[in-house]
Amino acid sequence: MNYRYTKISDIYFCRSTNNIMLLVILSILPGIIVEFYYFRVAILIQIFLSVFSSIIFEIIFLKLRKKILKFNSCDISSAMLTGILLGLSLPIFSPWWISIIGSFFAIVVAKQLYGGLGNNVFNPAMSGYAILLVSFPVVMTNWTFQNNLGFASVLNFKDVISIIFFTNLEDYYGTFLKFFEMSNFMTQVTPLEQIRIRNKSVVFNVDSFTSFLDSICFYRHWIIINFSFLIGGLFLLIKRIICWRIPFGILSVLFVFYSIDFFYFGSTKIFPLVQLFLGSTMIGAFYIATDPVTTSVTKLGRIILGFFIGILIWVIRSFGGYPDAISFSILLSNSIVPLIDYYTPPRIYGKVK
Amino acid sequence: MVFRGQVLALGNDDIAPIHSPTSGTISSISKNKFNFYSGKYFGVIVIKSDGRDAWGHRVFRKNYKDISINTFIKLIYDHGIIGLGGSGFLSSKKIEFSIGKVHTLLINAAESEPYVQSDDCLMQNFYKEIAEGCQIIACILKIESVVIAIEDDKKLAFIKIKNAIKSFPNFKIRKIKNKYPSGSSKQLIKTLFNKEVPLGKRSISLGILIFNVSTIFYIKRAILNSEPLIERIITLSDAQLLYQKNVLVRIGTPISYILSKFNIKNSSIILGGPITGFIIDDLNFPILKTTSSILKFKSDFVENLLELPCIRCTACSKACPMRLLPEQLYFYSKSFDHEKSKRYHINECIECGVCEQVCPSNIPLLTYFKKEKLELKKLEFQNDMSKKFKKLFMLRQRRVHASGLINENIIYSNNVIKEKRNDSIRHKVCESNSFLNSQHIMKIKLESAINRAKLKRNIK
Ligand code: SF4
Ligand code: SF4
Repeated sequence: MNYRYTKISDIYFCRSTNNIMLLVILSILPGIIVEFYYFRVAILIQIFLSVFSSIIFEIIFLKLRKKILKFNSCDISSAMLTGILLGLSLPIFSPWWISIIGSFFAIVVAKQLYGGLGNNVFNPAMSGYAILLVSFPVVMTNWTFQNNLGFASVLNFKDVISIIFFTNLEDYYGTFLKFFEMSNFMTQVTPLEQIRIRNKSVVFNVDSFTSFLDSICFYRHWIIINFSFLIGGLFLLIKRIICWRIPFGILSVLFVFYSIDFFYFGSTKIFPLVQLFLGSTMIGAFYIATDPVTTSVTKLGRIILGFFIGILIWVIRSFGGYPDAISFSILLSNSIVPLIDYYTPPRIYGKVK
Repeated sequence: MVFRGQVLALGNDDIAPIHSPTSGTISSISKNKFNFYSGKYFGVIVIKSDGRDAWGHRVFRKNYKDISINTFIKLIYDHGIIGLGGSGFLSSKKIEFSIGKVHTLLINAAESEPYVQSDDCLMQNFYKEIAEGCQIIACILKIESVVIAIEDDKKLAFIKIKNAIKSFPNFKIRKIKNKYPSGSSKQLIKTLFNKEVPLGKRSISLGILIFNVSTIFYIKRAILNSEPLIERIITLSDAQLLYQKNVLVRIGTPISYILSKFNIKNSSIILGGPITGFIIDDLNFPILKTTSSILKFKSDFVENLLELPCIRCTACSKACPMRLLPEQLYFYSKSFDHEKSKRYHINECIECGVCEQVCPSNIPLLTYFKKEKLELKKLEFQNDMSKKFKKLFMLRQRRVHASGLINENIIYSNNVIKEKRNDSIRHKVCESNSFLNSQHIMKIKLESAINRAKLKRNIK
C-alpha cells in the first residue's frame, strides 16, 4: 500500500530507520578500534568477510523476493549491522567460510525466510552464531584456547591471511600449533572459560585474583574491550536509540547473582563488577539484546526480558557447557517475546485497574 | 429557489440537516465522488447564487431562560449544529445524553492542530457571544461551573475572554500548555482535572460536557438569532508561515474559489490540520462543516515517502497519548486481524496521528488505523443486521406457530431437524435455499409467472 500522507519534519524530529542503523554502527566503532588494537588485522578481516557476505546475501534475497531495493532504505544498513555483530562474535582466526556460512544463516534463514526485516523472530546475528557453534564446534570452541591477546599481535598480516584463508578443517588445530610454536607464546585461556574450568574443580592457577585490583589487572584487556562497548551503548542510550531497560535488566541480574556467588557462596573468586566486563557481556547487553525487532515492545516486558536474559546467562555460564552464553540466552528469550508482549500490555488511557 | 438558511436536506439520527448557505436557485443535485482517502461519496447540491443573499424566515429570541430542554435540543438539531472541533458529532445528541448528568461545562478553546488558528480568531472577535453561549447552555442544562481551557500562546484571546466572563462567578478560565494533542477532549480532561475518561465511555460519564468554542458560538447564534450553521472561520496558511489569514467562509464554498480570491497559485492543498488532514487533488472540493483550515505546502513539505518495514522501535508507543501500542495495531490492521486489533483497543485511538509523525520507517499508521476502524464498523453493522433479521425471523416463526398456519415441520429447532432429516419438506427447503442466490430460481419464477398469466388468459 502506498498512501500519501503528511509528514512534518519541522514539528517532530525523527530519525529515519536508515539513520538509526547507521548511528548504531557508528557507536560500535570504538569497540572495533579497541579490538583492532588487540587482535590486529584478523578482526577486521572477519568483520569485512561477514559484512560483505551479509550484504550480498541480503541483496540477492531481496531480488529473489522481488522487493524494491533502494540505497537509502534500511535493508543494506541493517544487513551491515548484522554482519558487524556476527563478525565481532566469531573467533578471530576462524576460516573464511565460517563467516560466510554464518551470514547465510543470519540473513537468509533467520531473517529473509521469516519475511525480511521486522518480521524475524530471532536475532539474525545470534542465530548465525548459534548455528555455527552447533555445527562446527571444533572451530568455534577452539578459538578460546588459541585466541590470546598477545598471540594475535605477534602474527603478521601474511600469517593471519594464511590461517584464515588457507587452512583445512582437518589440520586446523595443527596449523595453529605450528604458528603457535613459531610465535613462542604461552597459552592463555579466555577468562570465562577459565572460570568455567575452575568451577568444575580442575586445578588451575587462579588463586591470585582474590582482590579487586588483582582481577582488574589480570583481565585488563577484556575490561577495556567491554568498556569500549559500554561507552558505545551509553552513547546510544543518550541518543535514545535503545531503551535502558534491557541492558539494565541483564546487568543488574548478573551483578546480583555474581555478588551472591562471590560474597555468600564463595564459588567465584572474581569481583562481581569485573565479571560484568568479561567475555561479550557488554556487547550482548547493549547491542544484541536490544535489537528492537526481536524484543518486547512494552516497558514492563522489556525489564522482564532483561531479567530473563540475565538469569539465562548466569545459569548457562555457571552450570552449562558454554563459557559465553550470550547467544543462546538471547535466542531463548527471543522465543518468549510474544508471550511477554501478550501478558504485559500497558495500561491504556482510561482503563480502570 | 432557496433562501439563505433554508433546509436543503433533512438529517437523520447521525446526520444533521443541511442548510442553504445563500439564496439562489438549485442548479443540480448529483452524487459525486471526490478524491478522498476513504473513497467516500458525497451528495452534491449546487446552488446558483442570485447575489441577494436573502434570509428565509427567522425568529429572534431575547429570552432564552424559559426554553425547555427538549425544544433546546430540537432547535440545535434543526439548525444543523455539529461538533466543530473535528469530530463532527451531533451536538443535539451530546446534550441529549448529558441531561441531568453533568456538573461541568468544559469549553475547549485549544486549537486542535498546529498552524490552525480559527478558534483564536473567533475568540478575539466574538468573545461576548461565546460567553453568552456558555451561559445559555449552563442555564438550560443547569450546570454549575463552566471552565474554559485556552492554550497559553493565545494571550489576546485569553484577556478578552477573561474580561467577558468577569461578571459570572461560576465561570473559570484555565491556561493549558500548547502541546499537540492537548486539544483532544480526553487529553484536556487529563490535564485539567487529572482524571481519565473510563474506557469505552464518553466524558459525560465523569459529569463533564465538552464543547468546542466555535460550537458554542454557533449554538448561541442558533438559539438567539435563529441562524443555522452555514459559515465558519477557517485558517488559510502555508507551511512556511509566509501568510496566514483567518477567513469567514460559507460552508460549501469550493476551495478553488477561496484560492483564487487570495491569489494563491494552484498547488498541493491539505484540508484540515497538517497532521490529521488529508491531501486533496480536486480543488472543487467544498469546505465542510468540520474543515478548520486550508494548508498550502510546497512539494518538499509533504514527502512521498517509501514505507519501510516496522522495526518495532516503539517510538510510536512512547508517543501515543492514549498509551496504545501502535506497532501491534499496525501488524494486526495490516493483516486484517480484527479480533487482535480489537483486543489491542483500536477503537480507543483518537486519531491524533502522533505515532505516524514519529515513526522512523515512514509508515502511515493512521491511515491503516482508519481503514481498520472502517472495516470493524462494517463488520459490526453486518452483525447487527444479522442479529436484527434473526430476531425478526424468530418473531415471525412465533407468530406463525401461534396462528397454526404452518405445521411444525419447518420450525428450525435442532431437535426437529435431527429427527426429520429425511423429511421431504426439509429437503425442499434445503434445495430452495441452495438455489436462492443463483439466477436459476429467477428463471423458474419467471416461467411460472408466465405460465400463470397464460392460464389466466385462457380462462378469460
Ligand atoms: S514508530 Fe514505526 S517503526 Fe517504530 S515501532 Fe512504531 S510503527 Fe514500527
Ligand atoms: S493516532 Fe496513533 S498516537 Fe494517536 S491515539 Fe491513535 S495510535 Fe495513539
